[in-house]
Amino acid sequence: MKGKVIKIITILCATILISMVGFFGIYTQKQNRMENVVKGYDFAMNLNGARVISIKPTKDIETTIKDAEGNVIEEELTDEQIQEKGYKKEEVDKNVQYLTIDNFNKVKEIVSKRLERMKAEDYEIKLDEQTGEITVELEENANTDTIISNISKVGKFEMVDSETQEVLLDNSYIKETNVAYGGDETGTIVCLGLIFTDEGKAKLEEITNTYKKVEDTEDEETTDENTTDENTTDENTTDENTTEENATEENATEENTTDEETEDEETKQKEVIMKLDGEEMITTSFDKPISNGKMQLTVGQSSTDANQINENAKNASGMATLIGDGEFPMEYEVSGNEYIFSEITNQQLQYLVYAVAGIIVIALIYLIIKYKLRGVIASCSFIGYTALLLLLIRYTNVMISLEGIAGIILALAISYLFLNKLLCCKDKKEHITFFLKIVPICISAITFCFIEWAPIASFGMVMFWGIILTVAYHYAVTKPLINIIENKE
Amino acid sequence: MEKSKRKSMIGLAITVIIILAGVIIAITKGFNFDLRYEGGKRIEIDLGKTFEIKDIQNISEEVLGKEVIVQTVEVYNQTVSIFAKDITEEQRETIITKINEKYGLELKAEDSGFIIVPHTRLRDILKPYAMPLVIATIIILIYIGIRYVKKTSIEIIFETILAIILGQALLFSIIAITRIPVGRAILPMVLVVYVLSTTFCTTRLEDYLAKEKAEEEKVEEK
Repeated sequence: MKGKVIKIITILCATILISMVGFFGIYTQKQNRMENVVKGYDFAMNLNGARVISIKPTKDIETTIKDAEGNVIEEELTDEQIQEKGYKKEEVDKNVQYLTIDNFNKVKEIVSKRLERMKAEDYEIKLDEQTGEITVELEENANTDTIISNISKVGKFEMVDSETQEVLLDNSYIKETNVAYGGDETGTIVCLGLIFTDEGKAKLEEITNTYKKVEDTEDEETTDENTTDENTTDENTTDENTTEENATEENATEENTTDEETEDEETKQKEVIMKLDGEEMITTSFDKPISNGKMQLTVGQSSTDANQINENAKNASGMATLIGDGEFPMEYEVSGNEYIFSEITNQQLQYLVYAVAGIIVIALIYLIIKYKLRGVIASCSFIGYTALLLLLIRYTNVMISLEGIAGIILALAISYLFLNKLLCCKDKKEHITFFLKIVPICISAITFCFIEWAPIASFGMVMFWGIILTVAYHYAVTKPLINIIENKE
Repeated sequence: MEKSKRKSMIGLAITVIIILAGVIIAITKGFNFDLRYEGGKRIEIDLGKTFEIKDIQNISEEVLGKEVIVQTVEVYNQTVSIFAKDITEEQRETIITKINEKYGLELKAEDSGFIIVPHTRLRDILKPYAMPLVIATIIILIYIGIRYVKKTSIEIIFETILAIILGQALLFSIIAITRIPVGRAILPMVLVVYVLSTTFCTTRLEDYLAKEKAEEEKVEEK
């Protein structure tokens, strides 16, 4: 009897201690002030705040001076001269033709794709259909600046002839992009992979054929010559034949100079320049024709340094994003970039906590009235569960969003219902049936944990820990407590 | 048995009526978006010194009414953003004057330009939720197929899908009818309603199985 009382008191004391830590924290003195050493909550974008980035179409203003009849005046005049002569100064945006709703929507879609590809975990995107200005609210983390730097870029990919600047290939021929890694003796190489469309595949083959490395041909020739020399030593006949051939070639050259020029052009190395948004990425020629429609470009240099590899991967990923999701129909520029705190204030959150606490109190009073002493014990245990859940989600680094708060409320509700089941039914089968009924919640929780969208992941993770804790805590703490009371009764 | 069937039929009829009413209102009137998603005008005021958000909130509400969002810009707590459906130049000037009086500043209205905040489309808000819900639903349907293998029929699968759709439709219909502002709180509701509607299906199936088992046991006893 005494042992049972001690057991109850011990468990209750432990529960109270956990509750104190969970709800209020542990305070220690640090530099003349008290500081809570218990880990704080990680709040998501909708509770913390967001980086707000605005991008708008770049204006390309052209100023024209017109006379009273509307004729364009070519000469350069000062403002005073314009006024004196009665001319008018007109400013026209050269890009005005591109400022259409379709183009704005296209840009918005590309921005969304880029955000998805760059694994932005939480964002909101808005389009001003009048001006084409796009506002993106983005979660603040280590990745935010990289994302911002890629959002407003046009993403225009071009493969041009190094001399004539003729555009040989552009974004429209690219189906997919990716980042690949390779390795050699010097370290890890990061490559930007370009996969072309069927049309692009044929075009790429044609280009890689045209811009094949001449070096190889020369090498082959040298090898041939060497081989010939070697052969010459062995067989004199070959030497003679070669000399004859050379003689014929020389004669032919003397006769026709135009042919020589053509041949020179053929042997001259032709190169292509790959450009991204007008900036040169690489100037190259090809070892052999590419017929599979896949091309890999090395980004940076091979390295063994992890930071360098990461940097190269970041650059490659940025390029892959820009090239892979299509190009903007017009140029955009960043018009705003600032961090704005959430409109949900701490006070509002406090009201929410009070409301939930109020509902919990009512529910626990109901338990106490219905189950008397067992209800009191169960209520204490439930408070311990709540505190432990709050500690668990803090120490498992679960990001708390509004969805996460909904998850906490739902987890508490499930725990309360299970507590009820523990109090009213002793049959284990009933308990199993309870969990069988909530299997869809478990499935959703686990599935949502793997989703990259922060609010959903927050909901899933909170639910996951909530359900795990419901099973573990109530079987380890609540059930033994209830059993002791029942035996006593 | 008939009674419970009648009850569920009545429940279904009420649900369908609410959904129909919701659809009509959503089509004719649309949803009542909250200020955040509705869009409007925003002004940013750089006070150059720290401020109490409550003070600015009070001033803004005094000038612009209750529907206003006041937020701190950047971590230095020196710039404030005031966002309302519409802010006229007069209102902006009044706000600046009142802030000047409160904090002893000499700010000018022209220094805080208007920023147009566009409307957020409902489909953009809900888009990230669609795929996770579809994936979870498929896994749940597979589970139902395995767990209730004896009872599994197209009907049960159809009922589960219907319950999920009806749950969401009911939620949005109630939102449309009651004119609850569509804001950030809607998204957690979508998730909660989703998990509840799927649980509703398994609860029904588990109860049905339990009843069937009890009846079988009764027959065996006899």
